[in-house]
Amino acid sequence: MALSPEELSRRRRGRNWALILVLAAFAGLFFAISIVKLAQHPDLFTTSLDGPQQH
Amino acid sequence: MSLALDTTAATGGDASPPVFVATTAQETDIRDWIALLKPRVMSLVVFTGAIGMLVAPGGINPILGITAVLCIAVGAGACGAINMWFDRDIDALMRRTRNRPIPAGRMPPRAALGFGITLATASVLLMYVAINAVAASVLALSIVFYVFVYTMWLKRRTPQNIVIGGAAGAFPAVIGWAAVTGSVSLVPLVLFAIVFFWTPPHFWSLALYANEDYTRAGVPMLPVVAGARETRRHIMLYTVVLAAVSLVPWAIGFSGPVYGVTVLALDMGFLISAWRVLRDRQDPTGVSLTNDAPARAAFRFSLAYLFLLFAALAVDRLVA
Repeated sequence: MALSPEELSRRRRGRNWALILVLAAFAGLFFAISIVKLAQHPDLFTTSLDGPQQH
Repeated sequence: MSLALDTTAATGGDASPPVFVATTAQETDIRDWIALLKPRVMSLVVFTGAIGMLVAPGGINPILGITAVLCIAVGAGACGAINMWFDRDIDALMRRTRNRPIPAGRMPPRAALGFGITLATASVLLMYVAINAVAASVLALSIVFYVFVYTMWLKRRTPQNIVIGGAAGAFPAVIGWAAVTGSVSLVPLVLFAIVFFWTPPHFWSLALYANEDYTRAGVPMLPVVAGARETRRHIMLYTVVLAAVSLVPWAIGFSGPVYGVTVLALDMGFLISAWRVLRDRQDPTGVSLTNDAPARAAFRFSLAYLFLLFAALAVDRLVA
């Protein structure tokens, strides 16, 4: 089952596009998760920037 | 594409034949990587996991919910890839599986193993970071169970492989529940039990008419070891147990009339299917004279049964 150079190139291109899409989706997902986590725990964000909250 | 004879491929004993494998992953098509994930199995796992999440008390942010379902899907896909790596010798012998990427020589075994391990690790880590430790632990447990207990240990050693191995497929509902609540309680364990008792009649119905494949591969499925007649009795027995277990969510008041009525109808249908399998016309050795038509029908019905049961559970909770 020998593959022609064109077929080999087509498969490589398809794999590269799939990888790009997966990486982009992964980056987007991590960004979205970070936003949600920060929204759920705003104290974490405040504490890290302003130091411990004073009562 | 260059091919090489992989003499190390045999994992099931000396009788296993050598397998031709691709020497490089460079030629592998993207569709083969997707096939490694067993998308059809994944769809069922994703469905039960999502329902486990939907019916759990409390709520979850939609992005986190989607992330949890993604982790369940990727974890299940990882199991599929590792399973195909380990079973490549017997896959080459069975008509149903011989066109899979590894036995067909379109992918090197090590690439599939690396792919599976990477996905398994990533899914558990992401579940831990984004969701919670309990959901990540149950996901890790389900992967370990499927790979080591079912694939590597039980599948080739005992006709009860499907019974105990079925636990692996029953975990997703528990994972979905744990993703929302951060704990595991009675209800997710009942959902686990439903999938657990559903698995044997589902797979034994398939095994009844895919008997030749399993015999050729030396997989000790119940029809191969105990015969078709005994398998039919087991299908009936497990369907009766399943029917009883499926009523528990209704009996303990977790679900209402939508689930109750639906599950009663589904149980009736499954019991009739199992009864037809049991009463199938057969020769004195138990071989079907109807080309296993009742078993084929029972297999199809079992798929619809699980989808509809879980859908009814979700609708019931949403309506209530």
